Amino acid sequence: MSGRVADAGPLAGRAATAAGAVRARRRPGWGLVLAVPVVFLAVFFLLPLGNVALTSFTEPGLSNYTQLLETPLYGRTLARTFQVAFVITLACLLLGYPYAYAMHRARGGVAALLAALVLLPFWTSILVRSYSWTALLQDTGVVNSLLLDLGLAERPVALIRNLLGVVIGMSHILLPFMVLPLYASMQRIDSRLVQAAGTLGASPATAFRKVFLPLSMPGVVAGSLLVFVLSLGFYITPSLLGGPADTLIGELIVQKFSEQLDFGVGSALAVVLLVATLVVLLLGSRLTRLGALVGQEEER
Amino acid sequence: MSEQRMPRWLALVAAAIGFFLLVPTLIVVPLSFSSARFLEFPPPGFSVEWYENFANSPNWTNAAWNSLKIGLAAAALSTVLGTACALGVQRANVRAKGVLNAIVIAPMVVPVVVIAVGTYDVFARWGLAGTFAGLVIGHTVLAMPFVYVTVGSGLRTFDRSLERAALTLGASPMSVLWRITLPLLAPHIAIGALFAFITSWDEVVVSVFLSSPFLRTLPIEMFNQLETNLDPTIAAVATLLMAVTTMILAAVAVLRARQSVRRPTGGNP
Amino acid sequence: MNPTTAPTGVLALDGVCKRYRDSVAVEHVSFVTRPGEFLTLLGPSGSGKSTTLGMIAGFVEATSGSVTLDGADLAQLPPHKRDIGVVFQNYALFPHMTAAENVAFPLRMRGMAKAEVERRAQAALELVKLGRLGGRKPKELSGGQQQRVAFARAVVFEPRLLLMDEPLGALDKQLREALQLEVMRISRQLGVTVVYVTHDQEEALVMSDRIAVYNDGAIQQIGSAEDLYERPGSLFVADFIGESNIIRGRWDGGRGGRLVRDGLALAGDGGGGAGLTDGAPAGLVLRPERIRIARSAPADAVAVADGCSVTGVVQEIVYLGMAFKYVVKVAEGLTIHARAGVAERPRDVEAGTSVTLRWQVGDGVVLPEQVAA
Repeated sequence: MSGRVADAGPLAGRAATAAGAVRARRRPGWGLVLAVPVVFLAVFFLLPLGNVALTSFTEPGLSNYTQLLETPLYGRTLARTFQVAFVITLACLLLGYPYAYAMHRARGGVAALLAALVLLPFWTSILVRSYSWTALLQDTGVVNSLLLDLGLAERPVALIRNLLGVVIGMSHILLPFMVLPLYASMQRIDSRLVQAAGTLGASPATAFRKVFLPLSMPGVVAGSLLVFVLSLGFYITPSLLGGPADTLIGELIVQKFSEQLDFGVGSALAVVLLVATLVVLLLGSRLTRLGALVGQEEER
Repeated sequence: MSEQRMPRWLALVAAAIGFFLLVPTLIVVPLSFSSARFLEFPPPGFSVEWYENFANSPNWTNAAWNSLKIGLAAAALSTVLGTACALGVQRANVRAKGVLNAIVIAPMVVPVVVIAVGTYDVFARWGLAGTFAGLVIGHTVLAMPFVYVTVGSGLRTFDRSLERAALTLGASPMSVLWRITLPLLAPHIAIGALFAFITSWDEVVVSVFLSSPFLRTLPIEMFNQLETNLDPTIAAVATLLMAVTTMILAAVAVLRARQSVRRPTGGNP
Repeated sequence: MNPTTAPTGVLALDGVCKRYRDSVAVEHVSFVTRPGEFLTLLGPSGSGKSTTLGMIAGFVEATSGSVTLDGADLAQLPPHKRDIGVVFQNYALFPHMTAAENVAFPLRMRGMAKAEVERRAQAALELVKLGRLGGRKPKELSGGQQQRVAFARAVVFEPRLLLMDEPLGALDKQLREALQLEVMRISRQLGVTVVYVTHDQEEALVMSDRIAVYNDGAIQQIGSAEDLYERPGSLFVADFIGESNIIRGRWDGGRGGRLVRDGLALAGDGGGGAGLTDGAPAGLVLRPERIRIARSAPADAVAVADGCSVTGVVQEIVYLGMAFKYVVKVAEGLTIHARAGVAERPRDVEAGTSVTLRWQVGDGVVLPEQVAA
């Protein structure tokens, strides 16, 4: 016989579910309210992206892509970008996990302090932070001055105008993007599970390894995904901290558009970068909820 | 949060990483007050010369003024669009809400360079490159997702029975939105607006393409001068940029603290 | 109240159904209220009573059937034009407004003059005995006070109909009982028709003029509390309202009608056998307070013949304050509860005693077992 619907108390408004349990008699035009921003995004966001794709195929044509394949410069740049992104992700993970864990374990004021130390860089402009790193890593910069004064080096160490500087700078800038999703994920772990492991005889180290660490994996994936994807597209930091031989794809795209006025190849590069980003995100979406990357909570 | 105290080694590691996070961010502050002509550490003496330099230079002050105007406009536009989007996605009778959600959030994860070059090409054709409107629109595209996510999270915890109650009491759907829904969402909307402002205030890549020699934002002016200018004026500008950001973050923290005090009603004896 | 010649607050539901794609929430519900009546929709969770309320208020669209108020078809009106007061389960007080502003809200929506709004809102607050707390925000009020503000807000605009969706559920027993009486008193004073939803049958019995018992989306029976208690129309209603013994077995039309089970043949009022078929499953409903309990005497064996008594062994005696409840095992798997007031209880009965339970034929009702849904 037909089943019965659980009395969800529609008057209390709890029944606004996919079952369509509640429908206002005359909908107050939410569709229209949604249409305005969606049209805005379609015109000023989707259209430009589409235009890039179109340009890559039509100005002058597919030769843009064949150029990418044939000229070793582009392949090298792309490979370098991926390698750098990978190293940065690893560095952020190694630094970010202990920091997020400390935030998770900290109480009261200390937790707030640790959070502030992450949020301030997070919201500080990338330009300012990149500039700070130039001031730090220059031959006459802070780090080298310290090294020379302390006698740890005889001449300035080349920390800038090379990939090392880029990696250091970008790791610093992207570290909050690793810490925040990690922390959010750790906070969601039921603390009683680790305590239960203790009562079952596990040492704190074992409890961490066997219970906490696996449960924090969603955060690890989300953070790593975000850092990796953001690294791919970086432009400012590499252009300030990197050398002319170390261009990453972001810089290359900007060069093509602003200096060489080669919109065709530039667009093709942009398409490659976009596709790479989307592929990584797609693969990542198998492992984690993409909304977690940008801080969207789960639907109840 | 765990009951046990943090082990000492962890505290030390966290302190070291915290140091790594903080120092490169704040190093510009002491450098901006340095009396040296070039970037030198430690700074030999104290001077506000570079701030004076900034205040007296029309290039810098115009750029700052532009950034402020564009930031406010972009924040306002993002707030209206982002809030409408959050409300619409939750309530409109539309399928494929997941896709819509992904599109609205996309500007946060799509590489800025790609957005920048795409926007540049299209805007140039439409005559929007190098214009105030162009920059505002470009920044709004990037800032809107922040408002959307913030207001969206507020909507998720929003008690919709309040809206139904208002309807039974005779309020038209328009009245319900204006008198009940939006006032109760105000803190989230405000926080979203602040994040939108910061996004515009600090924006570089899209602005590189959409600005012109006559219309520069503060970050663009800074970026241009980085190649040529080695004196600490840039450090002063960087400090100013950060000061504004910090004040806004403080405002957000205050708003958030006030929010947690207010608890929802209903059914609590 | 404005005197009118035509009766107001007459709510009529006719064949109202609510069907979803693969389930039915409400099936053919019909009733008509009398003006100023207090009607309770009573039933277990999921039985369709809140959905019915939702259709009256306008938040749920009926699949079929009509809902009219004083003859006007409500289906044509959106919720904000129906002029019906609603008290929600979670009160739904606007947190950013004071209690007085909450109560004033419906009056402002109707464009009343400011002075008049304030006067009426204050009067409504005084009606619910919160005259001096108008300046407080909802979070500064206790649960009981919040409920009263919600009530004041729903009646301040003098609606003809008031809907209440389990409004007292979150309160403790004493407070709930006090507020039940308040709600009854005020709605009587205002002359408003009330449709009240609850799953608490005691609450329904206390407050209502009539009760509609819901089960599985349909109304099993509508009647006054006495009607439902004394003359239940189905085993479900008998079971749901009040405490009773339901002895299940088969109907035997002979000897004036007996419920047969395990060698026992028990007599009860079968309503002349209407609806009861020989041999079909049925249940005998016996209210515990109608059963007299006494220590078994040898002479009782004779009395068994008339079907109005049965013997058993006392398992347990429960002290209820104003009465004693006897749990008596009568046969394998069959226990009967009997109740005796403090004054009249037998002194010689205790756990383990063999006892005889007696009742009058008219005290027991036999009803057919409902066909499984």
